[in-house]
Amino acid sequence: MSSSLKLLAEIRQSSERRPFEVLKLSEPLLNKGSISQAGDDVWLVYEQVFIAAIDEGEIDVAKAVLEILHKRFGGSQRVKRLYGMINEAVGYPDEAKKLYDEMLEKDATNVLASKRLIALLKSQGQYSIAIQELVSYLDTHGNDFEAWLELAHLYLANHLYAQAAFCLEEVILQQPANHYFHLCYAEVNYTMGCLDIALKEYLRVVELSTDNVRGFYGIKLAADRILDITSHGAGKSRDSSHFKVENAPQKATLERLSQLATERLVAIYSGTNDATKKTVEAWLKL
Amino acid sequence: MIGSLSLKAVLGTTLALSSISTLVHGLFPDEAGRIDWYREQMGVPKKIVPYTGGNGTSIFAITHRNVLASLNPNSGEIIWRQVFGDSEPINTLQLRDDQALTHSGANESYVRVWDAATGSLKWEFSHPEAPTYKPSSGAAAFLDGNKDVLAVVGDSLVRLSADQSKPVWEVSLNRTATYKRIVVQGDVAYAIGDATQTSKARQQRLHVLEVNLATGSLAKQYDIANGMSLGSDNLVVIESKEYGAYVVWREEKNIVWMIHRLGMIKPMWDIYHAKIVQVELMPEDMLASTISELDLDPGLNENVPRFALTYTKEGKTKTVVVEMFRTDDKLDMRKVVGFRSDNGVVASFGSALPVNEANKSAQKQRTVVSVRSYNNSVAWRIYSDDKAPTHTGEFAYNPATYGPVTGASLYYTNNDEPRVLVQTGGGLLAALAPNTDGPLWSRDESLAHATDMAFMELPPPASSAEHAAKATDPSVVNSPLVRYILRWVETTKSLTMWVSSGFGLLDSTDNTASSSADLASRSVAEALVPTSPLTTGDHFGFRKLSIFGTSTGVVAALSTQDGTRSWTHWFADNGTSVKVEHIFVTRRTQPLSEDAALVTVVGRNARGKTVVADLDALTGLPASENAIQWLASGHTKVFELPVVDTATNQQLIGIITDGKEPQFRIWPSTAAGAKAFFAISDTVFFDLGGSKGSIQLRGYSIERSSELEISSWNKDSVASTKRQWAFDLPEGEILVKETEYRNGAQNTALLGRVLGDRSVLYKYINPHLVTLATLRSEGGIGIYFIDRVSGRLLHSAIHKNARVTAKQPFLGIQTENRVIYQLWQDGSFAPVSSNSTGKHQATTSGYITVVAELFESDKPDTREDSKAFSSYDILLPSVVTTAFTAPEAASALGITRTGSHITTRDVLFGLVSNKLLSLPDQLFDPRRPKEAPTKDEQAEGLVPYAAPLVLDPKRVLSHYNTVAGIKFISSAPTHLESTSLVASFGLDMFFTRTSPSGTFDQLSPSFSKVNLVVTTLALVIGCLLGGPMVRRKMTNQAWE
Repeated sequence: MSSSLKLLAEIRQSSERRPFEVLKLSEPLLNKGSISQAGDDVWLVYEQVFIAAIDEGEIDVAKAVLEILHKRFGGSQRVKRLYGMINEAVGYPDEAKKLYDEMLEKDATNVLASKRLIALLKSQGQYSIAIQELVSYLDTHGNDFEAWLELAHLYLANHLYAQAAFCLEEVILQQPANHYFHLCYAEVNYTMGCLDIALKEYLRVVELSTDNVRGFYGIKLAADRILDITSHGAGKSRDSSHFKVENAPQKATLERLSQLATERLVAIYSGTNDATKKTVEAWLKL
Repeated sequence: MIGSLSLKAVLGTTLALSSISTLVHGLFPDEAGRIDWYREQMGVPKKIVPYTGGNGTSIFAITHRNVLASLNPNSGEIIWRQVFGDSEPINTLQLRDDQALTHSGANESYVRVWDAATGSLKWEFSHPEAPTYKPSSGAAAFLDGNKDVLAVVGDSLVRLSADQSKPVWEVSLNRTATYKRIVVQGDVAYAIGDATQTSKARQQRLHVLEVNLATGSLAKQYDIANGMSLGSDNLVVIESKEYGAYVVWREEKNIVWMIHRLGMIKPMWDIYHAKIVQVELMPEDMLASTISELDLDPGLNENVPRFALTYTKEGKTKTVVVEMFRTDDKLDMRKVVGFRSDNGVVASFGSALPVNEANKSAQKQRTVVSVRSYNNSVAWRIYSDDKAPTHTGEFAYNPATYGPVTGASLYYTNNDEPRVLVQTGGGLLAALAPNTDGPLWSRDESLAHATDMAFMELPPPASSAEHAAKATDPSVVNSPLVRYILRWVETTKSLTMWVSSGFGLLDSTDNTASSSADLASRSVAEALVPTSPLTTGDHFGFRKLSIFGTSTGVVAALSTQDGTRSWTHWFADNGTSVKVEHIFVTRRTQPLSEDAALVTVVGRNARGKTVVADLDALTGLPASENAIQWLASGHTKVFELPVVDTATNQQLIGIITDGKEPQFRIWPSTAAGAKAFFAISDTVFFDLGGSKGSIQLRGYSIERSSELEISSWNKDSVASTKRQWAFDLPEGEILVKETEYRNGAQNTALLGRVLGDRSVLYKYINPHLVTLATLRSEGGIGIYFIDRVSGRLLHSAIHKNARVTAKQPFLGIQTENRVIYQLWQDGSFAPVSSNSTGKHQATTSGYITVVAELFESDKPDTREDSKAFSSYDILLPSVVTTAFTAPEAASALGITRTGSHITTRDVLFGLVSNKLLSLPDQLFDPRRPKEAPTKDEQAEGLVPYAAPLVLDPKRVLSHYNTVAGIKFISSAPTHLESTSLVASFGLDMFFTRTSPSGTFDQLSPSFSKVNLVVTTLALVIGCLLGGPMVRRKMTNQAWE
């Protein structure tokens, strides 16, 4: 097998979206016909080339490839989806939606069709419908954390923080070792005023990811804010009732956490240029 | 319900079938003659009589192994044979009117008449033991004109009628003589014997008895031939119908022949030598001359009486055939044939009459053959008169293989072609024909007289890569890669050969053809000396050399696979055979050693002197110049020593010789051997007095010789022995047989027996265990287990009603921790143990097989708590015994041997019904439960006890072969743990392979390699065809 086919296979397996490279690699293969060397994988390569061509706007290439696939597989659902995608690409979202609906009518559990439909709705700005579709999709495919993540983003876009936090909880359940999800969750909670949960999640972030700057900033912010709220009493603050700090640690712990965050941030930025350092120090009120 | 029933039925049937399949030990029909071989034998002939009857000529023989046989004169095959009892020697053979007459036995004697064509018994007459019987008397002869027989049986002369097979009349001989010859003349008969020496007449002489055949009345009796006896070199008895019967003799220190016509007391004729040889013989030449009888069946001589004279004149030995003739009323003698018989080789001769009537009249005289063996050939001439020989012939023959020619006879085929039958000192019988190179056929009968046998492992096939590499450059063998490549080269070569030979199919048909041909001619020797002696074995160790020692002096090496002869060597002392008694393989072929394999032979000459010899085991030639040595005295015991002479890599042999005190000799008797031996001499013990009739067993150790003696050890050196103990048998008991471990039978793979509850009964295995069987004067057999080192009595038992006679022998064998023996039990079947009350009383007589198993303790998991086994310290073994009734007697017992003893050992029986039977050792377990087996006993797999030993016909190893007279059963391991080589010999020889626990490490014979290849190919093709289809389907599925 030629090296370009090998590279294509690697790209395919890592689910990376590198359309330019894919097209560049596949062009000689398509022209010379040596794509048949891929054996049984030739159809996967065609599919890969097709998606890359759409991404790059090479609609002619995409059409040619789609023709080949159509010839081989005829009424295949997988090919139908590709037709949907090319319709999206050339600006016929309604046509595409119709195709996706047809596919879902035939098989309501068709994951790819559902996802395409949701993506299509999202791109059209029909967030509420997209959310609706995604929720019904997740009813069936509860273990698809990426879908949960997508739903969280959709909720955030609509400032539905509590719903987003719920989605992120699902994501963390499935991917508990990824600090980024914890960070998102912490930030959503901070935004909602659940400072105790936010602090805990920020701490989890720095636990999973060494010297995570965003994590330490979060710790600093949350700890200081809780200290501020608890030391000035409930009445003094403007709307301290909006904050939840019941499960926060003792004052001394909070102070030490704040101190630790400060120390680490200073240490992390000690190697950078003076301007950055100064900005950080200013923020940290040092 | 019905479903479950049928399921049970199916399960039951399956179980039953599977249990049957494990029990069947028979062999496939196509294996017969392929994994085994069989040689039908008769023994060294005592007398050979070619006889032409209604069915043409055949050769009849009586042998020293008590066999009467009829041979095909053209092929030497045995047409039929009758095997007589061991204690029943055949004294007389006579053939008349298609009937063979034998007189056999000693005091209890038998006269039998056989159909000459089929060998079926026509009638027999037996005479019980007579108190007045004269040892070695006995003779029988047919009467003229009818089929009645006159015989000397016991102490009587009887005329037996063929119709009634009972005496017509009987004459008591009253100890007057030892009668060995009967001459029938018309209506009278003469019984001739060596007269009994009395105080009055002390001199040897012949006694003649004349009886009237019709009435049995004694006509006269008288003595003749003072100083002579029958069978002497100077006396012949000659018979003829026309001239009457005569006794001719020459008295010692007398140069004149005396001639006596039987029945005429006076006158006698004196005849001078000169008239016969037509040369004046000097008196001293005459004194040295001998006379001998010429005709194999004197009674058949229709014409004139003849005999032969051998004399030496002026350094030349001549033999002259003399014929009696009558002129007018005067009897005279004349020479018929004369020939030289010297060159240091004794001439032998026989004579015969042509078969066809026309030729008989044409050749008035009977023809005479002379056979001379000299250098490396045998030359023979046939004379019918004093002119040139009518036929001559010569064939290459090395006397070192079977000894020189000792006898010859002549016979004619149905076309009147002469044939010469020669017999050699070693026991070879060969038929020679004019104008043929080798012998027409030959029979090696020495192996019927085998006394010992040893298996010799042959080196693996030389075609293996290591050997090929060794031939070119030994250093390359060190590289594993080179070895690997060489192996592949060899394998590829053999594969191409296999393919070019038609995938082994053609080869196998060839084999079956040759094996079926073998079946037809298996009784006939394949070749006197093979062109290429066997030097390599096979990968599985099936092909070994079995080296036999015989009492005729022949040491022969045979392939265990097909019985082909590799070499033979004849041991003799001044021309007479040495009785070979022991064969030891003292040096095996080692893979990277140049030392030749050695076999050490111990024999005894006629005067009892011992000879020890080392032979090259692959060629049969003496290993070195000093390889054959005569000891100063005879040996009483020979055994292998557990030590190897480091200088020659040869295993040492210990020889006990007679002396004031028993003397111990070491073979090879070199300083290096002595040094090696005295390093371990503290552990060597032996016992003497184990022979039949002894009343005391004595144990000895060996005294250490001084350093000086050891360093100057030579063939005359002996070590002194010290008596350690003596075991006196109880008053009135004499020893019948001593049994000890043979051929590594004490080796074992398991120290104990695991019982059903996982506890262990430890076996008592003592390599110095000796079993004695004694005959009690008050009746019964005593059994004693003795430790050879300490002389301690380990166990004893008495079989009160048992008996040992020549016909009901005691047989014993020791294997692992078991002693198995067979004896005859009269009347009741009593248990073995001495303190028993006789619970199992039965009333039948018969053979019983008793098994005694020895354990260290009767309690499980209890064993002697010491690191080393000491004969002095160990507690007495716990002995469990059981007896079985055997439906028939065995003549030999044996045990199968395998490499690691993991396979169970079968007990081998050579049955008197001419079969070789193998029975599983589980049957001989004395712990077999007598009552319903407990759970533990079931878990242990003990078979419930049943008194009769079932001699299962499915377990007859010798299948359809008649293996007569088995005296020895020997076994050797192969490279496959499952398989054991089994050899039985005595009279007939039978070799086979057996797998007591099944062939668990071999493919079954029905396994088809072709099928395997075809199946693999089919699978590959299936994958190639099915693969794309499946992939296409999977792609379609992915793109649904």
